Amino acid sequence: MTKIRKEFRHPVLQMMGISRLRVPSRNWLIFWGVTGTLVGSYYLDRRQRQLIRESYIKQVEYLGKQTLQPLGGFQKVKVYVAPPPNDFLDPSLSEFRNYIKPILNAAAIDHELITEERQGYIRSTIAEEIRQLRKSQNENSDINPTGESNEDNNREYTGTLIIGRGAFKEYINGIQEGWLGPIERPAEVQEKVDAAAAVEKERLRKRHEKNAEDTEGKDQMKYDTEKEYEEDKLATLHRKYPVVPAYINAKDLSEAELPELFESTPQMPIQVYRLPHLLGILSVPTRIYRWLNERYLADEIGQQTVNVIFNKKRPFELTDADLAKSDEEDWPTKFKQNGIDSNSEWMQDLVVDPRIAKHLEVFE
Amino acid sequence: MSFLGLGGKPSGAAGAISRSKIESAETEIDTVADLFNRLIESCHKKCIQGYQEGDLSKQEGLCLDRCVYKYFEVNAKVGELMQSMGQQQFQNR
Repeated sequence: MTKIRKEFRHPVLQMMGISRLRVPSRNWLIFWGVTGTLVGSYYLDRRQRQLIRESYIKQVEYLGKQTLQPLGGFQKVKVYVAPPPNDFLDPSLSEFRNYIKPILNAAAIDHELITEERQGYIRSTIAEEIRQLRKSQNENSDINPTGESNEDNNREYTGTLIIGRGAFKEYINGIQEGWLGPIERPAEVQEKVDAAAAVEKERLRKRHEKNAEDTEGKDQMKYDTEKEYEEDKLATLHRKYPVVPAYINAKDLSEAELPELFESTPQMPIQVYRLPHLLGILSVPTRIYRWLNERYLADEIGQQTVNVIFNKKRPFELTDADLAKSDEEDWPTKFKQNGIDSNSEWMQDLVVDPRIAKHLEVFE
Repeated sequence: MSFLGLGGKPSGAAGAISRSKIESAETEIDTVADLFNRLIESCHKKCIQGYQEGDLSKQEGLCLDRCVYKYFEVNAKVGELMQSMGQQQFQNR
């Protein structure tokens, strides 16, 4: 196949070492076309993303440029971050770092990150906090009926940011468990905790025996594989801060009694962010599409964050239980199936008790 | 030790302050001073955006707050690690 292609010769070009100019072959055209499109759309996207971020930063910057008062504190938000299913914390954290943190920093709003790798930890810590509050209230009411101690509990915080659907479920469930569940640990929960601890103890004992056998080896802590090491790290964490199973079943929530204290306790308004995160080879085209369209996510999250800063909020409606629901479509099917089989709280439908929902607020 | 002539003498005799005690106190002062100098240098570099304004802005204040907190946190962590490493070395010997 020898087609005569148009070419251009000129003595001046020849003198510069370019013998001829012509249109590249079909294959080269395809190659440059595809490469150019990908590279070009990537740069376009990142540039737009940057501009969008800067535009939101400019909206709130005047707050951060104000003079710091000698005794003035900072507004503070709590950020709950959970890893996406079957992955590590990194994607959630980078969403926070890329889209949310620059805006918070520009507005000089302090944040406290609460991150956890294990499912159920966010729920159990929140529930425990609320139980402590209720307990202290009960004790106080005997001595001092006004009980002002619960006031300063949340004073410096002005909001709660939640990244991802899973963290949102845990947060709401934690609040419900804390307020509607029993204060004291029920016997069956204690049994579960003890059982988990026993399993852990047994495992450790075996590890020690194994270590004792090969004491000739110089390292006292020896791990056969990387995986074992990771597991041990998680186990150490678990021993320090165990994830306590829920004190109350989801279906019993509507019958449980809501303590009066709930009405008088200020609830933090919450903001829920989507955490789109796909895994797997089959979803590569969708992932490429998303990777080239991050500016829309940046826009959405930036607007949400600015609303947090300007305190634009509305009452929680029952339909808000579906916030960030699109995340669930991204979750791997195997994870979902496992979750359903093991009755994981991430896979249960989020039911918000109307009495609790009445008192919650969300940012727009 | 006395504070501006107040505070009285410690239980032991005043002249009995040992040399090694003074030395360790000196090194301690040195390390603390060094820590502070480094802290100030790095946090200043990170957070202070310039001197157009006479006062700290909220952004800078928050940045300093977090920077100092982080510095001490890291310092404590490194200290802990060094200590455990030292102990291990001591045991292995």
